[in-house]
Amino acid sequence: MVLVVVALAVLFRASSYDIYVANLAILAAVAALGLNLLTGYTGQVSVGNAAFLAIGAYTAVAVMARAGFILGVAAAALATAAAGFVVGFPSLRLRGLYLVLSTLALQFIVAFAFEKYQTQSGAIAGYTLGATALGPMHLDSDRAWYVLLVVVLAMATYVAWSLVRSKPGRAWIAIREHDVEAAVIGVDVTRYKLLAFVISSGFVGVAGALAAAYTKHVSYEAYTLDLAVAYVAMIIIGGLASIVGSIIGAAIVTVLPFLITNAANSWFAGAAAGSFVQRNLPFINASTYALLVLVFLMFEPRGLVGLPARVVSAARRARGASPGSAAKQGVI
Amino acid sequence: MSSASGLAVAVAHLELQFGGMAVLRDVSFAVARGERYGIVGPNGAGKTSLLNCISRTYRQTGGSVSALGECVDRWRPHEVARLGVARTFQNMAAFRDVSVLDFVMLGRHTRIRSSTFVCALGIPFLTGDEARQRRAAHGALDLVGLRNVAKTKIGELPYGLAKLADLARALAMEPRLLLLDEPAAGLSSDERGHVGRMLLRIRDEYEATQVVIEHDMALVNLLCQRILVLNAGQKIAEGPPQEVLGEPRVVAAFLGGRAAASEAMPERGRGGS
Ligand SMILES: Nc1ncnc2c1ncn2[C@@H]1O[C@H](COP(=O)(O)OP(=O)(O)OP(=O)(O)O)[C@@H](O)[C@H]1O
Ligand SMILES: [Mg+2]
Repeated sequence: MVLVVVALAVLFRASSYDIYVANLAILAAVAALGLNLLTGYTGQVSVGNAAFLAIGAYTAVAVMARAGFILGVAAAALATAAAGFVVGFPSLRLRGLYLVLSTLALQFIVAFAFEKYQTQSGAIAGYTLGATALGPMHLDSDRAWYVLLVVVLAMATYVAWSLVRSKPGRAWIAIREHDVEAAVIGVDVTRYKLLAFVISSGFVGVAGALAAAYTKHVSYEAYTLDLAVAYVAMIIIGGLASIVGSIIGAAIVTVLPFLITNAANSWFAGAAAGSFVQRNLPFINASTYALLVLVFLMFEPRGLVGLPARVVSAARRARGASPGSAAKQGVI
Repeated sequence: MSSASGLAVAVAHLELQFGGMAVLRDVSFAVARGERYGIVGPNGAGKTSLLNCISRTYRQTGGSVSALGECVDRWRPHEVARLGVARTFQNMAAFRDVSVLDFVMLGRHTRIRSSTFVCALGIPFLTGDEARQRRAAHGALDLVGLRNVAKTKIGELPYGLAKLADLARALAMEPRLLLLDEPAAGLSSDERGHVGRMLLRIRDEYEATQVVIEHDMALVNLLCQRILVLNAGQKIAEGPPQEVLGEPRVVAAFLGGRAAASEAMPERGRGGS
């Protein structure tokens, strides 16, 4: 309900630039939801997200021009899900840092493959996609895309929410908590780990395909390790194993650089410090959310969605204590 | 094996080694369906390892294991669970972040038929299937008296209640064979009494075969029709508890075990899953 009201408010009040930023945030949220299924719920840390986005985008490039938008997105979902299935296999053996390294390998393989493919096929500047048509509707404005993307995010949220609250979600959580005991309880660990990889990368692939169609441009340089890490930052900041947290985290990590850029432009315009700030904006952006990640890991591992619970328990503690100390403590 | 089909558990000449160290040596025993069977022995005798061979988290180096009439030597743990074998854990160390109700719902995992696709569309919530499973989980919680902490995280429960939640999770599976690893260990005497009454109730209300590891001999006497005594990985006695516990070599094994252990209570930090 709240989401619908917010979405409509944005649609009517915001400038076209704001809607562009909102669209990027929504695309990020779809991918972050997928990643959270894998990392937050199943406990499998992956930095393969940029690679999955790339696979989704390149599949969209290959399929959309010939078979249309819907089939392009579907093909991207299938292709990334298949890639996720393959990437999931090392997770049956590897844990923790070793698993991270194996997903890192995917990043390098995909980056290399797409770079070669792109240069060999003569599209050095990348691929350009045509305008998107959804049946009779032409998605020719940021606003039109916004409506579509809100619907997609709503569907992705519903699916993720349904999954984590039923049999597969409980199996994933059991694997995260203790894989051997999960197996004794009756969870087919192999099957559910691979399932987490397949579904998670499917979400990321859909986001990649939609992003390609929306921005109308795909090139390998965009799919960096930095990007992969940004998605991990989203779910840590928003909240691991939280559906709402995935969306909030995606919004923050996406919007923050725009806010910083705006602030830098308006505060430092003309000043000597301004040019320093502007030259180093990418670095400042990256370190801002890196700092946020550190802060959350140290002080609130549950992420932003853990904060209300913290405030409530602090308030409870304050009420339980003597009035004097409660006043001193306040609500943290 | 047709001869084993009437048995809940059939273990034949079981051998288990870790890096040359023999943990189980030529252990054989059989448990009839519906029987309540105890496994006792000093710390480190190999009791948990024996259950691990039945639930397939350990692979024996020799001999064979049958459960509920099926030879499970080549099975994987979840397949044994699906057959109808439930197991509680000696140390409730994991699942601290999971609510009691969700943990017990995990016990329904093998009972829920909905496919992942159906779950992804949220259909179990619409058809009432999820609600039905939740009622079954609540039933198991009622049985152990934990309904009022259903929303509490396992990690926030006192140790004794966490072990009861584990028991509820096992019961929620509606098992045909229930393996309990020291259900009363590490509990206060109050909690011990509660668990004892619980187990007697399960004995009376469930027809499931029970195999119980326990150090509390009073409880063993009350619960088990027959017991197996393990010492240093070997079977040293088997029979009704009243008879077996008085045998000189059983007494000697326990005295030796107790002298070797630093405390009379079984250690909690030890033993795998
Ligand atoms: N995975 C393993 N690797 C190596 N040694 C093991 C392993 N599991 C068990 N052991 C050893 O096997 C022996 C028996 O252990 P087990 O946990 O089965 O004993 P137990 O009878 O259950 O003892 P307790 O009463 O303390 O629970 C111990 O010496 C233990 O160190
Ligand atoms: Mg043990």
